[in-house]
Amino acid sequence: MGAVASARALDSPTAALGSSARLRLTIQLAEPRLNQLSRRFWTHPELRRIFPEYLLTLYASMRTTVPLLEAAADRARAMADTDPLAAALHPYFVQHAREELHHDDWLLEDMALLGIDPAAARARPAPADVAQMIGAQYYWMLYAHPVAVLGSFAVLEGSPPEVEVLDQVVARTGLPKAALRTLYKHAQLDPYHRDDLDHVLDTLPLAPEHQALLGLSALHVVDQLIGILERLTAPNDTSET
Amino acid sequence: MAKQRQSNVERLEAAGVLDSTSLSPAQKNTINTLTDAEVQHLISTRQKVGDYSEGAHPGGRPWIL
Repeated sequence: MGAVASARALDSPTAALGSSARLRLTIQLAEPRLNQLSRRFWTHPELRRIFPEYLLTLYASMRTTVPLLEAAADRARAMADTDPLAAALHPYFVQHAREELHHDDWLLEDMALLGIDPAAARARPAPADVAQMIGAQYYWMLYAHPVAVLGSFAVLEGSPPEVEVLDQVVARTGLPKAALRTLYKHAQLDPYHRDDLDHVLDTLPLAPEHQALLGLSALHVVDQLIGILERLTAPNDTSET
Repeated sequence: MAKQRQSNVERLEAAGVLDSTSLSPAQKNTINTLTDAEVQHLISTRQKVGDYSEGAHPGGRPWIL
């Protein structure tokens, strides 16, 4: 049997786990393979070759962040009169949409340094794995509850690249550091966003069905990221599957 | 006599998702609140990847918002 989630990862000593801890624990149970693939990606012997495809795939996801948050805010506002959770979520969605504004533009500027035409990046259809990852959030937002979006963000902002790893990538691949500017910025930003999200989760009036939806949303994103990283790190093939 | 239903922790341990000896009582209690859908998803994810080792520090995920 392969390795299983261990005490190193599951180290909360609290007697009763809150909503954020429940979600983080659920993610930790699912993420050993994702962690392995993340390591494989950063140390990939052909990282320089696959990096443009990586940035294009990442852009396909990042460009959806603000529209997704705005849609979630609209949905929460529409439900707010009869749904206390939706009412409590609305300010978070609005604020976080502001915080995420133009991050996709930063990435386009980074890609231009590698010779990727921003217009071509915008025109490129999203890979199916990215569309599946983001599309599910719209489904759950519209047909279940907008709180589902927080499950995806718990994964997507939950473990950003580390500065030391990015430095190693630059040194080993010769990629210009400026082309990793957006990654470096998020190495600083996302830990704060993760803490903000945990605080919000622990103050929301979450019923068991909401917690379950958060878990499903997060687990779906973990699965999709595993598929994306398997595609990007597949030997001699960076094409969409 | 009816067979006693397995707990989530027992099901996940049997599937190789977790090692219950490394979990605190609060963590076990929390895992036992997961829904069937969540548990099935975790087991399915584990089964799809086969044998693997946790390996070195991942260095963060190559994903941001």
